[in-house]
Amino acid sequence: MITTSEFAEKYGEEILKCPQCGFCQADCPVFGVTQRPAYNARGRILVLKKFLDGSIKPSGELAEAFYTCTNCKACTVSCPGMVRVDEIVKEFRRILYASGFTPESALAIRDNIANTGNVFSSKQEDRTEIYPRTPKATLLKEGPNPKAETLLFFGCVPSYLDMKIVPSLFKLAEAANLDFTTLGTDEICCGLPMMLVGSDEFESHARKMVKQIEGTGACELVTPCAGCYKMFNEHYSHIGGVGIPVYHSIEYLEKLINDGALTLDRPLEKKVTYHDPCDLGRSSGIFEQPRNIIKKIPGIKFVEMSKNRNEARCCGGGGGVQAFNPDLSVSMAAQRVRDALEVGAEIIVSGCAACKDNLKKGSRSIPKIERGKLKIMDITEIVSQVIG
Amino acid sequence: MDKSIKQALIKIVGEDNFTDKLIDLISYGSDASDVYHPPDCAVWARNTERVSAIMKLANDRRIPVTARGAGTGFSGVAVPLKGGIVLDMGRMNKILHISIEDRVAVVEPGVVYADLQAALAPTGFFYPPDPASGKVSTLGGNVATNAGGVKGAKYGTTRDYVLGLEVVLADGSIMRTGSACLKCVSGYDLTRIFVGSEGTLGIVTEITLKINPMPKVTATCSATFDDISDAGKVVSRIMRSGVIPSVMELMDEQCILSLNQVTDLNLPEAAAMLLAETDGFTKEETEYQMAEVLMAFEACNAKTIYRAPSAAEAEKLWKARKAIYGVVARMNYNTIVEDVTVPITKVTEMLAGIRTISRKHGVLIPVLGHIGDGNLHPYIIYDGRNPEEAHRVVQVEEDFYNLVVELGGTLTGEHGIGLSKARFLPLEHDAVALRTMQNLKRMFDPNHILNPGKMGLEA
Repeated sequence: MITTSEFAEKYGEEILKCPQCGFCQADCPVFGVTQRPAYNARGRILVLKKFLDGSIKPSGELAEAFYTCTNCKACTVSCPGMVRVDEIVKEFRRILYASGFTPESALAIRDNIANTGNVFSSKQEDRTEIYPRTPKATLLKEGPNPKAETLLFFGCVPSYLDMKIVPSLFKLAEAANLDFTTLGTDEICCGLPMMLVGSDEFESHARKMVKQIEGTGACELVTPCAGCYKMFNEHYSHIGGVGIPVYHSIEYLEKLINDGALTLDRPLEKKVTYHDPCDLGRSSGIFEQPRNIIKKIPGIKFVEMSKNRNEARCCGGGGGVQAFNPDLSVSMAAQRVRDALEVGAEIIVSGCAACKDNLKKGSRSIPKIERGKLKIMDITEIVSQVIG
Repeated sequence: MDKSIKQALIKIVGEDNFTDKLIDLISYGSDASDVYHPPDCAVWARNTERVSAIMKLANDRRIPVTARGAGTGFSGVAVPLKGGIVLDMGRMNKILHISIEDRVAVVEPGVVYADLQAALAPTGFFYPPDPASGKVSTLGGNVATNAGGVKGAKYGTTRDYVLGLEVVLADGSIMRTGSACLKCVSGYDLTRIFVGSEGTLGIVTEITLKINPMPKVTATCSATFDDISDAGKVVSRIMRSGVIPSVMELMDEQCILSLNQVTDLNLPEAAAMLLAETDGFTKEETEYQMAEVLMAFEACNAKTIYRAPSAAEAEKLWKARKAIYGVVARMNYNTIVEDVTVPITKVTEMLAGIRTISRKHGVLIPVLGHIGDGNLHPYIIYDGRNPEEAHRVVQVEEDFYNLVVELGGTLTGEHGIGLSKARFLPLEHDAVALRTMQNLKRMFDPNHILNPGKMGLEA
């Protein structure tokens, strides 16, 4: 829990130094589809100025402004005054949470994770349903292999919502002869959605998570989930970190390809673009590795969207907005899909299951005549299709 | 807000385009200035007919209406000082028509400057005014403030490109001004009356802009000076040579020091730095101009001269220039970005005057300037929470404006009068001119509902 005075102490100066120039409107995905200043960094900072001078108090309306932020960090990166808006929004959600103004839909996510171990309130035993029918995967359904070097940590969205990411990662790990294990039905949510809600419970949840990871004895963790990756590397530092190096599948695949453990030799004659997930790109600086991988696929023509890397438009799937305002989330995804259509892409590749899921929704919201046969794929899928 | 007015507005624009939520009122109460006053409600304009209906209602019920683009202004132009309705034009953001042969682009007012530029890029044409806020500011806002930018000296400002407008007047009637022709002397020039009128005369709902072919070659250089007045002399010398650089920017010592503190640009420390760009359609044309600029640097005692060998190296210099605003904005809690402008021959005196005023009042004032057109941006950096310091800043502003008028300059080169400079208007304009402006305002807006409290014209 954070008190108002602690919040003021930590971010008061930062908030007052916002130059109010409005330049954050350029890359804010929410402003992009709503044209509503209150749904943009400057609007939120102005509200906080009023909150800090005591003229307004936390309320449902304030919650609306702060839970419609995808926490994509575009404002923070483009701010001439270098104001850390993403951090401020996250911290103010803790105040809203403590004051009882967190929206019900967001609280449901917290409860799902606390009660069932995953964001969807699905059964833990269903988590491995998506495992492929290889002998190794079947064995891992029974429990982790305690002697393995590499732990594959899939994340909730790839495990429950996506049909292809988990089998693709299995295929790649087996093709590269990795000595790997998984947590099977013991894998639980990393806690990122809980933190984005504003709840401090994510800390105890994270401790539980670290114990499980330690229990496998693995010396490295690989995840295809951008959110888990950011959570482990950035936010678990509060509790001393995960204890072993954490890699995103993009980083790991690039290494395997460069080492010759995987060869991309089946051609794919398609125009492909890459969508930078906020949790990998702006947050972690992973921009070039995915592009390097895609460009190595024979036959592919790589095209870049006009907004890319640090300026990439968020797909709208993050920050808990999908739960709080699903329509808003989908309209942001549609705008991102249009960015890809504009450059003639036939496939959008990403490195985040939540982006993939939301971009698919965005794509479906665009008339078929306009979107054509556009496909949305995770990087694990496209690579697993072209290995020899 | 009166329930019947709210219902009437919702009937015109629909629930989705009306708000009186606290979060919206707070964000519509500000722009990039220190002025704050919330409206009673805000509506998003979607087409001319709705704007007309809104204005008719507002005029009948005497409700203030303040039009808003991106809210990036430094003078409080978009702040609804008397409450009422904020009319957000941001959702009227379609580029309606581009004709290269006719050299025109027709746009709705909510189109962002950079979006028009991006649409024009493949055609080899551009819309030149280039305001620093162009990534977010809207063309409607640019018209309302007659926005300028770094290319003002060579390419002029918004005013030089607006061929015609569609305007909704205070009573809701709809008027078209100007023409889509490159030449037009038919009747009074109503278009120009609206450019720079800050939303006090009518609501612009469509803009016809002239576009230019984009020069294909640019060259960039910089120079440092031990004496800032030498930098001022460079501009006069270049002007005498007959060459007009496409960009000519000044950074003073404080700007250079601040940039070096927070970036890895490692700029050479000096009293002033000039950054210049020349452009043209052939290398020879661009190089001829560049040679004149470099000769002027040498003749005016430049300490160091640097010619960017590549576009990438040039980009580093422009990155430094663009970073200044953010860097100075973080130096203290409040920043006033001035835009005083003087004739080129008075630039040196104005720069010296700014230093004197800064020392006299003990207020930090880094200076950046589009020096090629005499438009200077002294940044007044202070802590507005300290009343004594805030009072000194008021005196700084008074001294600035007195000096600039004394030198034959103008209070504002590109930001507008708004509220921040409203009380100083009589310094620059004589009583007859002021009375004429007041009469004009009364004629267009007899009930004073359009952006009331701005430009100091409601006496």
